[in-house]
Amino acid sequence: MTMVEIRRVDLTALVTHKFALDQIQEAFDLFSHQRNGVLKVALYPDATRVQAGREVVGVGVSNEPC
Amino acid sequence: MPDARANLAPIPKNLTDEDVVLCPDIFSTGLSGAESGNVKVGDAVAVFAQGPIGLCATVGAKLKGAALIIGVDSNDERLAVARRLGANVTLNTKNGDPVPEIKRLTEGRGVDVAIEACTPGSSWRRTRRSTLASGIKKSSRRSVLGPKNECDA
Repeated sequence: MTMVEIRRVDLTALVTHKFALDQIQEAFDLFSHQRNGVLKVALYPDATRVQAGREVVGVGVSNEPC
Repeated sequence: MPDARANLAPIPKNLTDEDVVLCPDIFSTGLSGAESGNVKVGDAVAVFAQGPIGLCATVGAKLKGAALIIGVDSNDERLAVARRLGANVTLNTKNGDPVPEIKRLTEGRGVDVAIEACTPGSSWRRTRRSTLASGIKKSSRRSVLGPKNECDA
């Protein structure tokens, strides 16, 4: 976790999709079929953290040494 | 969560859940692939399969100082992430056997460390296993993540 804190490692590219908890069926469907470049799915109990129902996160990662 | 009492840690206030959610499991597992392969500064490393754990093995190889990191997978989207996370070269198995290209990239020597982070039982894994031995030099180190009895060639 220290390596994340000092920004030597950025793992956020691996969380490619976000869903509200009540969209869990959709999330599992996506993940089990490995669609849309999914790597890891984050489920949020607080739906307000997932904008517009579903947010597909870009795979942008800095090109700096990690 | 195995060993939760040992693994639980407070998240620093300046980090988000997304920053650290993969630390206790995925990242530590992938990093262990680089560590158990004993990646050294200047090594050539091939990471077979670039799912979340394989991608973290790629990150680990970079952290350990590998000079050449070759990411191998059948999914171009994952290979794109691999390049962003530290792979110098990526090879898509759909474009053919990666082993001859690995030999070419290492001027015939093969990689110093091969890390395997693939799904046990996948047909792709079997294909890779059948070709790996001829592509990796005899003195190289292998690091297998997952059930060893299934993954070891």
